[in-house]
Amino acid sequence: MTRLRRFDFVRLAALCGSGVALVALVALGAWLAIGSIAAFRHEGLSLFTGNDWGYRQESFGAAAMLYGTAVVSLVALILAAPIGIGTAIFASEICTRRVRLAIKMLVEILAGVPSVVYGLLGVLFLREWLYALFEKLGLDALSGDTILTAGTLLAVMILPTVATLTDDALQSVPSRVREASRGLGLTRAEATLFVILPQAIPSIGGALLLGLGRALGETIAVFLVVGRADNLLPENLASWRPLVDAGQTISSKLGGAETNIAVGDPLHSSAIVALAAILFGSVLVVTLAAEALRARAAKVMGR
Amino acid sequence: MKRRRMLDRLFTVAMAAFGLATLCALFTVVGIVVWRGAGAISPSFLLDELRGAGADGGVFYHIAGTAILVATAALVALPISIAIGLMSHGYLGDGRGRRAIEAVLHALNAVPSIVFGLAGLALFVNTFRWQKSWLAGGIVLGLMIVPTVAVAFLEKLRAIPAHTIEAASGLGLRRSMISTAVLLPQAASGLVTGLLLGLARAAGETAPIMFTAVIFSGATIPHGIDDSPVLALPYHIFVLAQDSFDPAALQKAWGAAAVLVALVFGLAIAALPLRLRIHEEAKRV
Amino acid sequence: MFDRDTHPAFEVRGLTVRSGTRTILHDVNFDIPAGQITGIIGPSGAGKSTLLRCLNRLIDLSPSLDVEGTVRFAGRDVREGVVDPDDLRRRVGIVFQQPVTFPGSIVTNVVFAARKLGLVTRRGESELAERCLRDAGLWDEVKDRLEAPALTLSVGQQQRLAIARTLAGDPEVVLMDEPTSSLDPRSTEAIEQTVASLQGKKTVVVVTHQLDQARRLSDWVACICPIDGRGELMEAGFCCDVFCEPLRDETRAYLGLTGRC
Repeated sequence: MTRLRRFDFVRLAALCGSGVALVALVALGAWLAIGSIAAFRHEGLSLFTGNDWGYRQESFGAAAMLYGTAVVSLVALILAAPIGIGTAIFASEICTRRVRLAIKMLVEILAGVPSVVYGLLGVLFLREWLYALFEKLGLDALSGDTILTAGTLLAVMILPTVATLTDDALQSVPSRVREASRGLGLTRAEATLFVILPQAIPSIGGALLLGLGRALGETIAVFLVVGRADNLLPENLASWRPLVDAGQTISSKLGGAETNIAVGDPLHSSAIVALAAILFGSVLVVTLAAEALRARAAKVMGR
Repeated sequence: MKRRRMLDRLFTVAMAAFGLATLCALFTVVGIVVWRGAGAISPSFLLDELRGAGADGGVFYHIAGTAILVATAALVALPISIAIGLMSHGYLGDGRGRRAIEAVLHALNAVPSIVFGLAGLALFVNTFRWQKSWLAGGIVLGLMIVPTVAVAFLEKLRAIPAHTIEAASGLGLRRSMISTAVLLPQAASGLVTGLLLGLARAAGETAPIMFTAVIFSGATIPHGIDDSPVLALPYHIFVLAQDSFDPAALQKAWGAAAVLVALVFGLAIAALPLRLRIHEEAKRV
Repeated sequence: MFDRDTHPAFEVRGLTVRSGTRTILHDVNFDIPAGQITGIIGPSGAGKSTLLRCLNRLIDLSPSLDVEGTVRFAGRDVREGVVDPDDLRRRVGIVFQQPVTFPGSIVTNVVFAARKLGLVTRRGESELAERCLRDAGLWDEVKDRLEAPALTLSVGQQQRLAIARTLAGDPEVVLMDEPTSSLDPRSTEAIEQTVASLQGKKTVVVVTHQLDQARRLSDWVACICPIDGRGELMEAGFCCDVFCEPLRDETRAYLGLTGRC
């Protein structure tokens, strides 16, 4: 019996389609890497450590932006983590199955609010509220456009991510663990705090890291309320004072006018691309760490 | 014992408070948009074009522009995601091939939207020397949502029981046939879900399109590819949020925000019944 | 029903458990004697585990199940408002088919609940752990490595550890849901010895599908069989009576009796 060797068009199509995605990723990575070479050659390490970003002077020290990015994201995470984890505990351990699903669907849909809408809310509401708060507390802030404002807005944006992923993490703890701990006479609070949460910690860590990744990459909302003031790097990195000052993050710089200004100036463009590379690199590292944690958690849970 | 019981009650109250806080925050966000934006919405708002730098008229061409961008993104993301899904489950075996595909998707998902926008600027505007183009925006958005669509598709593919595929193989079906006649139909709901979610995201994004595809005013329906910008709801809101003190323009911005949120929610809610069904099926397995 | 001196630990009346439209247990009525070892036998899926979970209200963790009827423990309906379910579960301990071991050392596991419940001081912990590990038949195998992670133990050892952990709470009742069905013979033997040693000191209720085990261990036996898909109590009585002269045909069929004893 002869076999007709028909050409597998489907396989070819699948290969091509997948190839497009792969090529896009590789091309993006290559562009980021190669495009930033000029800037790195010009600045060296002071790209990271220098606090002197000024394209007119051909100086590109981005330390203040790295600081701003880190602080804004950290503030967001510190605010969102307890509320998100608490919400997840409420949904997973206290609510019935139906209520939990309702909460989960609600939170996930509401999480789809576009960042520009958050930005609008930040500009027209949060900014004023926080400025009034600063006045009341006697802190002399120049305006409501501060690092704290950006961090707070970002916290609300990543709250659904943290909550829903932590809920998944808690649900992945098998029910026999709950049965065993309650069966010993532990209260629901004790079982949750001393048995279930500890077992879910790697997964929850992954959830927080993914929230952090989202915070790092967020541009539009941060751009609108962070103040966009360059080169404000405090001497005392641990003080709270800079929180009520304006600042700049990598993403807010990239979303601003300099991106278009840089067109035509190879060094300036390279600096912009370098910033983009740093941003992508950070989000990638955080995402990979999150996946590693979640993979390890899945392996342990599989016992 | 009494102390433990009290702590347990305190714990329940505290967690409920957190849950309430989250729901309140999110309802406040939507509530403000509805409260401020509802006033601007009217048939003329939805069907008129914008005039007076945002202070007058409607957002018809912004809706059209967003629709064009989203449709293009769908046309870009769908074939690529189908290809990735079929490649992963139809042709590659378990293990290394699939893990490699997942790695690529994770990496693509980690690209911040602004970096996508900059890449689009570098490619379409600087290299191809296009002026602002709806196609450039659509392509960038499409690539951006590939992970969302592909992951949902892959999840559904993974759920197809192995014996279904074995049975098909046993009947003598070639791999290409298995892919198109078995895998694709059975996992289609995952694909549709992923697409709806991805488009919901694409509709609301500003950063990927602000350098490549949109302008603030003056565009209507694009007539070509190169030098054919569009208007878009998110970018419109973004510009007005930055430096408009004209209350009329701000009012329109809220209206645009309300329309955008309605659009995004509509797409996400459309995905709900499928997602609930997938959830139920996954539990039963 | 029992001897004159034996009072019931549990009185089950009209217990019915439903899941939506499906009935898992239907109108179960029987008593469980105190201080004795009661075996609950029956084919799998008959509802034996569900019955067990009604005794210590662990069934509350599945809010989709509807429970009707009463279970009286120490003279009181366990679902009355004044009864604290967590306290009930300390007094009515339970061991599952699959041991759940908490992360931490062997000692940490044994005293886990006792510590949280305030039943033991820091100094008293090692003594409590040794006592319970001896009772569970695990002491000799782990006495040299008490601080080692408990997860390094074999499944059979982890099950005995789970028993030790339950005993550390000093319960009046120990419920066991198929405790040895997936274990090696050595662990099975050790656990059966533990159960036998509890005779007279605690009330033990063992669900098992291993009939020879039920015969070896039980003083009192209850048989649950499915009728029309609903689990019903066929009979309850002294071990010998049920095994040699069962009253119901279903029991006879389950026991595979062909006339001999």
